[in-house]
Amino acid sequence: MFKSIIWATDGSESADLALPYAKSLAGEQGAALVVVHCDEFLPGRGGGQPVIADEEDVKGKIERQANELRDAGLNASLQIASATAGGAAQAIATAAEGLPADLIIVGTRGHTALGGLLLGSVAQRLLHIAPCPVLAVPAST
Amino acid sequence: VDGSSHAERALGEAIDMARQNQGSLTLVTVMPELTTWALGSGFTPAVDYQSLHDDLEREYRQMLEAAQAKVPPEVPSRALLLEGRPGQAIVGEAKSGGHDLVAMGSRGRGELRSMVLGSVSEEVLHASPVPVLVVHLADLPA
Repeated sequence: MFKSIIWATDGSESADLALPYAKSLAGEQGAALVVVHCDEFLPGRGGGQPVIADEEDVKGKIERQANELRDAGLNASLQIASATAGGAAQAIATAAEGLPADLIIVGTRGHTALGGLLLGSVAQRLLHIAPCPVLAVPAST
Repeated sequence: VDGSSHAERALGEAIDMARQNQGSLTLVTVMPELTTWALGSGFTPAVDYQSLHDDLEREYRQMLEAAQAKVPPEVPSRALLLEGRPGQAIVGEAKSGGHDLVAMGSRGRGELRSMVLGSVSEEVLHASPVPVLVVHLADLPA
């Protein structure tokens, strides 16, 4: 029985493929759905640069998605975490601990530089460090 | 299921999910193929292959039945004993069995140690056509 479910998204298509699962599980179980996005940045002068060039667009898209979830009647909220490059999995695990969440739902491949990897590095790290079960949704269902 | 506490915890989650969704459960265990190591030398095997195979099968079946006994009666379940490489066999069943989800334990025990562990769950994650629920035992001893 899940009370609090995280949908971890980086705004990629793979993350979007995991969304229907998050929606139906949260809906069926009356669980809170927390949309967690991690803003990764490269530290540097002037506050650092986002790892993804279109980070602002991505955030806008995720905010819209969170609003749509609320409009659909779900108890949805949005949490934006931030981390230096490579720290997204840890940031999501920390968010899961803080809630605490019972389940994290991820797409298995995000938009990283290593697009050729079959299993995204964030998903893979999460599997090892998450404090709760992780539902990994493949890109080709 | 493989008799580990990790798998047991994953079974608990799978039971919850099946119950919530009025789904049914297939419990799968994969026993290793004996031929690869027992008969691999090319010499006459020193062991009685058939009796070793039967012993092994009996043990795996017992473990499988013990796991199935934990499934509450209102959740329909069946038990499946496969043989071969675990990752491959599980993915094969996920592809052909019409399942919606694979639930399994991750043997990962922290970032460093997990690098050498959990090869089966990793293989399944790579190749499964359906979502995989990986239950990580952060709060349980390995």
